[in-house]
Amino acid sequence: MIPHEKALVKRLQDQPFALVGVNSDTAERYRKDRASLGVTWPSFFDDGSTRGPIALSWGIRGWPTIYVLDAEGRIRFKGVRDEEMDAAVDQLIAEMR
Amino acid sequence: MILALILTVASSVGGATVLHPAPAGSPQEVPKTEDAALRARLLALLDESEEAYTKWEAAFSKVYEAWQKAVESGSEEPLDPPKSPMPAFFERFDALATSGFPEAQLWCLQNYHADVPAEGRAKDIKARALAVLKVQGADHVTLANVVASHFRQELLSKNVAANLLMLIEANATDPEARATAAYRSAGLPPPDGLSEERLEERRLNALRGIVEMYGSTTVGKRAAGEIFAMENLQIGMVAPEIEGTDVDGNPMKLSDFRGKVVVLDFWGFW
Repeated sequence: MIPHEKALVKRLQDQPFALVGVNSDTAERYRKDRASLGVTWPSFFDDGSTRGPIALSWGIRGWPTIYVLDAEGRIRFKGVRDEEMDAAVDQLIAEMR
Repeated sequence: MILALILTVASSVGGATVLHPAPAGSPQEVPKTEDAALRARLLALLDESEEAYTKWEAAFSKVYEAWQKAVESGSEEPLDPPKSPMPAFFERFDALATSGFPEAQLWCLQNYHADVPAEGRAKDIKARALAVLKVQGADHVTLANVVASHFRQELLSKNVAANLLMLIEANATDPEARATAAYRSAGLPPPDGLSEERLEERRLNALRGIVEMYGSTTVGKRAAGEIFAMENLQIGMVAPEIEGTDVDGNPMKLSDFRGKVVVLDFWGFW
């Protein structure tokens, strides 16, 4: 999934788009893999655990869980992955034109 | 992903080929004394079974990968995986379980096989669960999870599962275990024929009850999160603010990205 997300970020680098993570890894693991896998997008640090405060308060029960928000911050898609996620993003960017 | 596949295939393989008898003695009659030599045997057995499982898992992956490759290149040979060593351990754990070790009993419950004759099965599982419940300080969180999982695998009827979970909630001393039992209980399927609206209301009420009783436990916080999701994270709603920091301590807010299309991804490297 990380290669897919990297490709998405790269493809849309000149578009009004952001990939924002809430990452549940420990700081140590995150720093290590961020460097070796070339992760460029920002992520909230969630106390190094899937029981972190953000995931707990949002009721997250599976990883990854994905929400796609439009430019107004409205939740427009939930639980989309891979090509479906790409299509959702493309649709919302197209709506802004 | 691969692991999930292995586990699915493995359990069906184990289920098809392995039989173990129901225990002879009643697992409810638990002797009180805990013998140090028996405890050492339990620890050694846990180590041995773990090692056997790891070995088997590696062998399974190997066979599975080769089989997948063969299928991709047109083979129609069925998968012929190595047999799980776990059933062979069952009797040994069972012997320790009847000597009064809740860990051994939990092992038996977690490695229960679907091909115990259906008529004695629910009774046997129930007796084992009650035996674990009787031991103060045993892992009653796992017990509640195992009961729920046996219901999902159709080893227990809804009634028996519901009763067991109720007993765990009433008798466990660990609040996390009580909360887990309540949460699992709320996860049992509702009666047929309820409208969508009524289902949601029912779920919300159950979750609110859990938060009220067990708000400070992890399960209670998870239930609160689920309520939050039902009330604030539906399609069309403005996503609630998240304020936090990145891994290096730089402050960030979800609303910083307003004006852009955002993929908000709860993720990890695992």
